[in-house]
Amino acid sequence: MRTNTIAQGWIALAGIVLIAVGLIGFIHNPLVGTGDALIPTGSVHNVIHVLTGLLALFIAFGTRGLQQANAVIGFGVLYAAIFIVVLLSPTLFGLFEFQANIFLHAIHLALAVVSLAVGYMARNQFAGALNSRVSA
Amino acid sequence: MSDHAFIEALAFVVLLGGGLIAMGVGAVVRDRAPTQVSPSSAGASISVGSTRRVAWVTVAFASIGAGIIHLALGPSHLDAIGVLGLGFFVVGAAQLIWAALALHRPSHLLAWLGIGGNVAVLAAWAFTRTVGLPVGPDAWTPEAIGWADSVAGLFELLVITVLLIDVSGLQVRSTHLRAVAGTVASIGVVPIVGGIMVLTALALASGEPGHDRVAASLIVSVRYLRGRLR
Repeated sequence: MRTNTIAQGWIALAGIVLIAVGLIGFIHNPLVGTGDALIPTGSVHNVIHVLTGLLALFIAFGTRGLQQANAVIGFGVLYAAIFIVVLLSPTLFGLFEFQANIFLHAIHLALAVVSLAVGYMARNQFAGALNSRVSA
Repeated sequence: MSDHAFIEALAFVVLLGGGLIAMGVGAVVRDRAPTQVSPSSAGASISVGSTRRVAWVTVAFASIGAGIIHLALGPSHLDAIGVLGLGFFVVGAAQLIWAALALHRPSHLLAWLGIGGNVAVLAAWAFTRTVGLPVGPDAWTPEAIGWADSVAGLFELLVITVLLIDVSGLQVRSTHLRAVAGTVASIGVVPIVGGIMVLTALALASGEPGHDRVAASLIVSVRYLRGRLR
């Protein structure tokens, strides 16, 4: 098993989970999308989950090698930015129907940190391998 | 705990748990496993240096975002200003077609078409925000600047800027700087494309001054077309 396989596995997992969470968020439930829900997520938020999930799946299955490692780092950068912006404005300047809570912040942070770390490891692996190919 | 809270919590646990396992396994494998690079992987890595390709992917997605926003805004403008509102559909469709061509076969001509088209659209936007439209119930009254049109304008500005750099043939002479630029571009394209997707979704959900919510205007569009067909 190579580090790159782990990067692919991670980003595929992130994509599947994001899409699943986004789609399930649309299913009518008396506790979802209402103000009295513990952690309500509006339709815009669900769409963003699905879109970023699709982006993650594209990285997992549409890229490879060093390109994939860089893309996984990029995904981490994207979620780091989302984490910071949503932390600063939990309703995203009034565009989210409901305030983001601690669970969502934790998901954003986890996606950012883990993607950056996994991408960085995969990148180092490939960069080292390419260097050794060049010197050989 | 609500169902949704449970799903979010579960997603968090899976993501964090999966990530920690992936990191742990990766750290172990990295030290133990012999380095393997298949020729195909090496080939893919070389293509990472194609900063130009990354630039075209970025402008294509920006154009798609702007096109979707224009198409979504069309119906409410059709209601407000009549036939002139068709311009939104024309511009939106043109931006989507241009994006498809940009992804498929970037060229110098396409770059100039993109620059010219987007400058024209931005100029029209600036005119309506400073002078106002010559027709409609609020003729010659400057429209308010909203989220959706700001985001579309931002995308168009991005397209113009990147394409101008591309057609200018700007080259970094230093090999080291070129390599760094290639790496930054290949990492940066994901947050940029992701940001475009997120901003487009937010723009579609935003309240547009003087119009219905953009997403809701799609419903107006369907009703309008049904009314016309009858």
